[in-house]
Amino acid sequence: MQPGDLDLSKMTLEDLFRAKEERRKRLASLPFEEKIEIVKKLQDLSRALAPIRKANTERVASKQSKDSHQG
Amino acid sequence: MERVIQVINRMQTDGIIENYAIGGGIAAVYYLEPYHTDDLDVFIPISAVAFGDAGLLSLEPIYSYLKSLGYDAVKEGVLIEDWLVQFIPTFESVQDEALQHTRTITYDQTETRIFSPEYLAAELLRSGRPKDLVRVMALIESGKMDMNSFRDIIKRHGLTEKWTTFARRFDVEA
Repeated sequence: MQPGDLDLSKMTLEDLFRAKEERRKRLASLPFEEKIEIVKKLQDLSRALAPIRKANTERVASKQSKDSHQG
Repeated sequence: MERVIQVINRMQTDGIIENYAIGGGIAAVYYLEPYHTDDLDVFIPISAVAFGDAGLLSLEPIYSYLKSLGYDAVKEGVLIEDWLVQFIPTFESVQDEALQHTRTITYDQTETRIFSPEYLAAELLRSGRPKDLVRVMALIESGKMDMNSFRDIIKRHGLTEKWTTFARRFDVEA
């Protein structure tokens, strides 16, 4: 499938699952070295998101604490 | 990663560990699609581990050796060339046997050993965390496992109950 062929309005759930499975197979068939490069990028992304995740967790905890005191 | 493998191979050459194999998430990435995993699990024979007077386990010989190469212990592992490497002594029989049935692979120009898919799946099933079970399912679906061999491993290492529960839950032929 070419990027231009993609018409989301005509896609079924089956199409989505099939595309996902094809993507999984394509990624699984990559050389190990390329897969590790992807893992490293995911690690970098996770590290970059860590402060945001921490801030969100603290914000939610703070809100829950306030709510429980008020409730 | 190649440099990490070279360091671990050097540990073996220098007699710090007599054998090793990569398991866990990175071994799963070898067989499956890449996904996020934080560390590199290196399974080592229990003989590489020192026991203190109180009988407590210590990875001190490994950590000292790596420290001498400039790699420091952090959290539950050692940071080697930007990879958190966890050395896991094979306390479980399935892990111990997995070390005897590894696959030799080449990463760039360097050889290393990883768990076979059957032993990897058995160890993940034993571990049993939700993310481990997802990988067991993915390994089965990948078609890269010899299911007869896997079932034999399961039977010999007391994992039948876990396997039966898994098979029922995920609608897999036990």
